[in-house]
Amino acid sequence: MLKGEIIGNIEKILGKEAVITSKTELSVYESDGISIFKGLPSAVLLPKNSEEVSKVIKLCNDNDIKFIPRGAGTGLSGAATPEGREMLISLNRMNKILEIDLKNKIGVVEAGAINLQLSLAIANTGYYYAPDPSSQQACTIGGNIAHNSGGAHCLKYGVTGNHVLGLEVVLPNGEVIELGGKVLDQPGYDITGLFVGSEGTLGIVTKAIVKFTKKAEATKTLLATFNTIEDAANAVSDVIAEGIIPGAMEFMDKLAIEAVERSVHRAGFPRDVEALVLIDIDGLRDGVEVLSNKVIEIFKKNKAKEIKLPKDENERKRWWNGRKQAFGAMGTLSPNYLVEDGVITRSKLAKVLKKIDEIAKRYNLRVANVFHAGDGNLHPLIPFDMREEGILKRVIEAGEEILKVCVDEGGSITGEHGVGIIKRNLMSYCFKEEELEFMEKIRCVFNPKSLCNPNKKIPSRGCAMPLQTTTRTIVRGW
Amino acid sequence: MVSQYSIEGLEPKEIFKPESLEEVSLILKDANEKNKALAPICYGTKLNLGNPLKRLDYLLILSELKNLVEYAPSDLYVTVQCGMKLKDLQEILKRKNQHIPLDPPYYDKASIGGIISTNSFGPKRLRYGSLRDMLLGLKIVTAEGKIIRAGGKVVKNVAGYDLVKLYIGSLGTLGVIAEATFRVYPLPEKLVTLIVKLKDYREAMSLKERVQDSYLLPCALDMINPSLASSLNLDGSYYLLVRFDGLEVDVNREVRDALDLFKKGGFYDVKVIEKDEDLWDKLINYPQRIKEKESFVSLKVGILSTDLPLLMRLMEEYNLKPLINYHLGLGLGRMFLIDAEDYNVLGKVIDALREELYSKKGYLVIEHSPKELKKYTNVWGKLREDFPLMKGLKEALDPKGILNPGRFVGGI
Repeated sequence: MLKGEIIGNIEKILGKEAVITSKTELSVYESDGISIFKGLPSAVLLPKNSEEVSKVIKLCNDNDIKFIPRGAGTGLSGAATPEGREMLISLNRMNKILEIDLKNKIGVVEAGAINLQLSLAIANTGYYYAPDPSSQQACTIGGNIAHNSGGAHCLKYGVTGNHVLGLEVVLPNGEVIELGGKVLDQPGYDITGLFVGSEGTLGIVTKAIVKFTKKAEATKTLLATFNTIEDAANAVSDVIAEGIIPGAMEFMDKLAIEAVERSVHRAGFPRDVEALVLIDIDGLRDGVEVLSNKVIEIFKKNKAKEIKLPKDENERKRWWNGRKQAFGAMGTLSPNYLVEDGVITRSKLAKVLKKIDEIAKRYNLRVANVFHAGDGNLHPLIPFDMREEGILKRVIEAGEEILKVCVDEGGSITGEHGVGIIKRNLMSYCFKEEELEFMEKIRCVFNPKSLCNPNKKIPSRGCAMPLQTTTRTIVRGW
Repeated sequence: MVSQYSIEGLEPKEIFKPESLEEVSLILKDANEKNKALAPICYGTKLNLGNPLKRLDYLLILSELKNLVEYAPSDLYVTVQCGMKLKDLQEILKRKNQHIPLDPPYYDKASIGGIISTNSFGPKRLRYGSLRDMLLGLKIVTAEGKIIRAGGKVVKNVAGYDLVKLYIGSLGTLGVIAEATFRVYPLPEKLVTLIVKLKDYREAMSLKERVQDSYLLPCALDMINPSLASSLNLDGSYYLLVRFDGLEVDVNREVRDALDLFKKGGFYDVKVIEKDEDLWDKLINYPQRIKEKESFVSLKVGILSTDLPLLMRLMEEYNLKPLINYHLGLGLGRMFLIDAEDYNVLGKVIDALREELYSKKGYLVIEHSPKELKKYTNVWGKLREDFPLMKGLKEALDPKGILNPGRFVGGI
């Protein structure tokens, strides 16, 4: 527990209303999007600017208090969930869009700004902010940066890291520094690149400089249905093998379709099929036609049952909304679900999906598959009812076994959700001991006392000795 | 006598030419144990980049590590050893109608490892991004000789820290890049360049905005100044080079509509070049083609295109007459000085230019110069406030400081 004295000091910095300590209010923050892991924070702080963040962190650093940065809490790995009564530093009040530089197609935002708000702010300019995780209506840019979030369109347009030019961060010792910047290739190591995806274990992002992307001139959406999972998976592999990079290519199996169609996000997907592939082919007008025809040929060759074009923009939006809300729709199947996030190369899709099915059967569980097929990023969803005794253990084990299959096939345990708590055990399955040690050395440079999001992402082995990283020791090195 | 293996006059005491990853690992272990300074190189196209080495014992020549490790055309990735030349890799990919959309200088000689270590790029970065956007994974031999992997072969991967980003452009100071996995892309069906004659550089800025606000998707948008134009056999004016690539139907339409757009803006002098490889090759490799090594100065400038007038004004103020190639959409440029003589003066000018560029969050790096110039100014410019982190990383990952000591930013 935190001492009253420290809370008092924090209240002096932030104001009383920006410090939450009552148990009922704290319980709102006990988990992120993965509610099977829960932990109460000792307090939740709501700073208004980087300076406040810095002051609070200095105080934490001086008093060896552990803390965790938190955005909207939509994360799916438990990266923002307390495990040992850490303090949460919520960036929600730091949600301003600070600058829109249309001439250079660059935006500057505070970390708590909502992803979708940024695209809306430049809605009529022909440009947008490309990374679009399914939670984009709620999730924050800072959270996206922490997880290097992807989304449906990242095969073609890249993940968050490809769109972040610079950051303002507060280091775990409280110092505020700038990384990167509007101008590309600032001399030195690409610390911005290293920071993206570090899940708050290197420091807290307070501002970000991001770039905007030109909207595609034309987009054609196709919905193809298949009688077998294998046909759908092969269709996906063949599109990529043909060298076609669609704007997005999504896969849903029967159970995932069922969940969406039972939910309020009903999209009108055909229910009598084993799988569907939803694809956006975008680019220049004429090229889109050429490529769409090729895609249709590929789908036909792989025995597509039906290939549909949306009747109108409304239907198109409904299909995409159905896909984006698929995780939430799992609630129609069961009270709880676990979502995994493995990645494989696309040619292995059919093989791995078959293995997932075998694993599910062996554990006597169901698995719904809904995922970004274009980039081989699987999201097996395991619906279950927590009230059933012993089920959670079974679900987690099945999930881990699925991810091990992904690693065995040359892929990864996480494509966009992060390691957080949930995949920490698997890190030693996909990395050698010396690789984990190497990463720990990096963490120790930034976070030597391991106060900032302790033990997340990489199983902590402790730092040999704290390294000096204060900016006051700048040495003119030439 | 200066041997072919000297780096800016510094002679290595031992030379190694390993043929396997394991050998590289053993050499690094040995160097680390004995505290021998080690410089990894391949074909030596960019040896001049960076501060002069503080010391040199072992020269690690990686040109024998040049094998294709794995190529999966239908999964759009390829893994190669770092000593392979980019040119040779592109030849392999071409057979499957694929390529890596990277067009850095020294294209025919540079190795994959060297290109990654220097974050080398060319005009096509506008559409395809840089190595950050196309490199999926690396195999690295650490200063202690351990072989570690970063990233992988899938396009999304957030397990562990993104070490790939850390190693791009780290100039061999954090480890030896041994293998690299790239995303590959379909070869464009067609490439066309429009050469638009301009009155001055300001016209390039306004045309850039017009292109930006249209549907057009050029892969390169480069301004060249009169002196560079002359050396490319164009008359001595400013020019905008607009390159389109992609499917034939798209490129044809883009060329047609771009011509219209330019005409509407009053630009009638536009050449359409269908076989444009030579033009770009000459532009990208201009100074190193005509000059002997060491004798020219190449400066990399980072400045937003909206601040281009500042850069151009500074050139006049300081009476500097470089050949300029500015990548408009990127905010990056290269300036070449062919006949610089008084390095003392040039050093001071560079320092003064830098102060002005910093006010716009820009920078200037000396990419290539005679060693002489480095006596009068430094290669990388001012240290930024994240330098202590860089130093911390260097100390943590190369504790004895054996890898390319002194060569990078702030002498790390």
